[in-house]
Amino acid sequence: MTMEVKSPVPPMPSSMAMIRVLALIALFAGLSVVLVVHFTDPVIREKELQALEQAVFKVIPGVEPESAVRISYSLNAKGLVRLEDDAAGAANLFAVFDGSGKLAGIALQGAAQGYQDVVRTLYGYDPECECIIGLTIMKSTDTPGMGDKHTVEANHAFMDNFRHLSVKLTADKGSVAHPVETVKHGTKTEEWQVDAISGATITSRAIGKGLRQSTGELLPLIARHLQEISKIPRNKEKSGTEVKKR
Amino acid sequence: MTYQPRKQKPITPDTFLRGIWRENPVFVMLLGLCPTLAVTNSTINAIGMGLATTFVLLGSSLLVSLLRNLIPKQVRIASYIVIIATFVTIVDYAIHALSLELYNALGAFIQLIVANCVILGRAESYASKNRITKSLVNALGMGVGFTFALLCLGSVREILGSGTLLGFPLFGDSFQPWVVMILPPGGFFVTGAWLLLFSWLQERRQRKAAKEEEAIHAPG
Amino acid sequence: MIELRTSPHVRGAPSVDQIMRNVVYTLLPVCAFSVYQFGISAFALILVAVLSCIGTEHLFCRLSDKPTTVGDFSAVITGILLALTLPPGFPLWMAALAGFVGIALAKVMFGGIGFNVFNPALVGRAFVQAAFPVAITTWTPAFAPGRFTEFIPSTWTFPFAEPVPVAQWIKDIAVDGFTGATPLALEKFGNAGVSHVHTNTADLFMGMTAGSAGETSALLILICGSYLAVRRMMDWRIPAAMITGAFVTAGLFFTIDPDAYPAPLFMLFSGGLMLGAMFMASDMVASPVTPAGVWVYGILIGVLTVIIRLFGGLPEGVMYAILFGNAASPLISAVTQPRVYGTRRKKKAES
Repeated sequence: MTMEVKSPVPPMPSSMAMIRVLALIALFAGLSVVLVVHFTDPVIREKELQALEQAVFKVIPGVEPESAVRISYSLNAKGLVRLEDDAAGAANLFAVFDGSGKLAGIALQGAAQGYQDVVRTLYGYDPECECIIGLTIMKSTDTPGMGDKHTVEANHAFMDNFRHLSVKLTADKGSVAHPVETVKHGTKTEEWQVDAISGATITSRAIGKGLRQSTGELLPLIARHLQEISKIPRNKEKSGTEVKKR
Repeated sequence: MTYQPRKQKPITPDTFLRGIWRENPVFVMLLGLCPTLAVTNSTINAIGMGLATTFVLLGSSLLVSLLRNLIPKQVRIASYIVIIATFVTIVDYAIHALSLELYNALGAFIQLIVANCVILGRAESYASKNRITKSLVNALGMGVGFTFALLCLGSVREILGSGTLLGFPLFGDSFQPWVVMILPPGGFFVTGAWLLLFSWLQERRQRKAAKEEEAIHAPG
Repeated sequence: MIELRTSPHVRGAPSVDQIMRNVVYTLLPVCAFSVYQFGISAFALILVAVLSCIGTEHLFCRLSDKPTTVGDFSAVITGILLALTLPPGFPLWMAALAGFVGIALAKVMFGGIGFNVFNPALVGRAFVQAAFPVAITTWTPAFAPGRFTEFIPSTWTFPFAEPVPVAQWIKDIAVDGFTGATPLALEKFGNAGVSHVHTNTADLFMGMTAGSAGETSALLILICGSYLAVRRMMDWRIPAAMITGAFVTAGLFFTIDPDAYPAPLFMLFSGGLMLGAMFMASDMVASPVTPAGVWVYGILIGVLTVIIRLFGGLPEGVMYAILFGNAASPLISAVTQPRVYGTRRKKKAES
């Protein structure tokens, strides 16, 4: 590079010039980002909704996604709130109704610390048999080939644990009678136990622990609000009605 | 451009090809190793990452080259980074909209393209000194070279680590995957093996050339 | 062949070949016990690992146009040590791969014997540990009835295929109460509801338990190692320091809470600690050269082993502890340089 400048430091350009150029670039940057967000955001929302929908229907077997209805709620000790906007991320309970309007199951989320990071699951709960009827892993960064989403979900023997996992409540509906428990591979004896994957014990335990915490917290609440949850709300408009505490 | 203060060399095939082979960003210059090691655990991730990087390279080279006489030297790095970050954001949203699965697989590494030295390096050492078309051709070469390198790693790691290529099983059900290959250490192993292979090839070529030279000089 | 000797009154230091050959001899009883314990599968495992190591070294010597270095027996040691740390029913193709990686990655790449930063056998094992985490924790019982006539099914797994499942085989040969777990795993993860299962220390000492092919008999390894130390072909301070470090650390935790932590003697005689201390940590190239450094190095490995065993995700920690010690040994050597005679310590000189 041949520069015909005498001093090694080139003369300082005026601040105005610098500000002008930076402003120009920033303007361009802002404009393009806004444009991109404008065009992609609806697509992204749509896709995330679809992914959630798929997961929800996966954990509640026996419903046809075409005719089924899914209602999102936010449930905590304060009460039950129906949510219209699914993508808001506040929903922690998805009630699924089959074509005839009967409650087919409730999808709930579980999370617990695994080997690397939190293992997040979504599971289906059937209030009628008081059991877990399906499970899918939303996120697991545990050892690929042992505790990751694909490996765990491909392990049929392990996934069979969650076809009928008992989470019966005690008589006063205050807590789960036998909390979900993960046991060493091949030693499952009770119907509330989860038979761990041999070689991925920590991931299996995290899944079991996530279920235990989530069921322990939410199932008594669901039992209280089961009346509201098991009906399809009539009005399709934004309701967001606060259900009073019993 | 009406007046060129400095004499520009014309575009040659080398402008494009040097990024693929002689100045390959990964195998020769050892740049951008962070995404190279992190996201090449499957072929599709490697392709996604390679194409995303190529796009950012092209976009930033175009803009930097266009504005090269406007940007004052004192604020050039800031300008380059803003330009690169813009294209990274575009690519980030585009991938998110195109495929959730790929987006989740690549994770934070899409955003981290902004810190990839290959791109800033191109902007600083090439696009800021060359005409638009030439910068673009060079950037494309670099992008293709980067993608090629990621593909080399990704395919080996996917074949050994999962027994598949682009998701299609290659060996049948009884294949035992080498878990280490899809973990970060596998990235180091495979990168090392490729580097070894390339330097071995280079050494052999040099030795051959030296021998030929000897043969020419010997009779004379 | 005429053997050249120095005069009888001049006791020269033994040559590399001699040391290596002696190490092989001392390892042979350990191998023999392993074959006695696990049968022909262990024999095949040792053979394949050794052949793979020798073959790899020979191949790389050929590739780089150098005279082959397999004659110095060091590749044989690597192969034997590698095989002794693997589970007895480990598929042979994986053992061959471990040998290849160990020699190629940890030895040849660094320039062959005398230049390796890490113990090649342990690097090979670490690789297969990371690559095949299930296969390397599939244990089969010792003293199976038909062990001299019949291979463990997983041994002859077709290359690149998943290991043949052995659960049914173990059930068939029906060893009472065998759960597919080593004493260390039982201690850490428990079994069938019981959180910590203790194993009889005497059984451990004699080697009557499940485990890797050659790690089980602490007594035999101790005897063989002592022979090497007496012949001065191994620095006795390394195993001594490592065992002390492990014993004291384990004892510390044991006195704090005897229910939660295993007894120090259990720590010493279980898993690969003895084999690691005697034959792997004492690798001459990858350990520090200064007298004080040797103690630091051994104690570091011993402490790390116990810490990994008690608090890590894996039941066994000897391998990673030794590799870590290997990595730290140049640093240890540098900070423990002895004072040159006649010079003063820096601090004093300054004051």
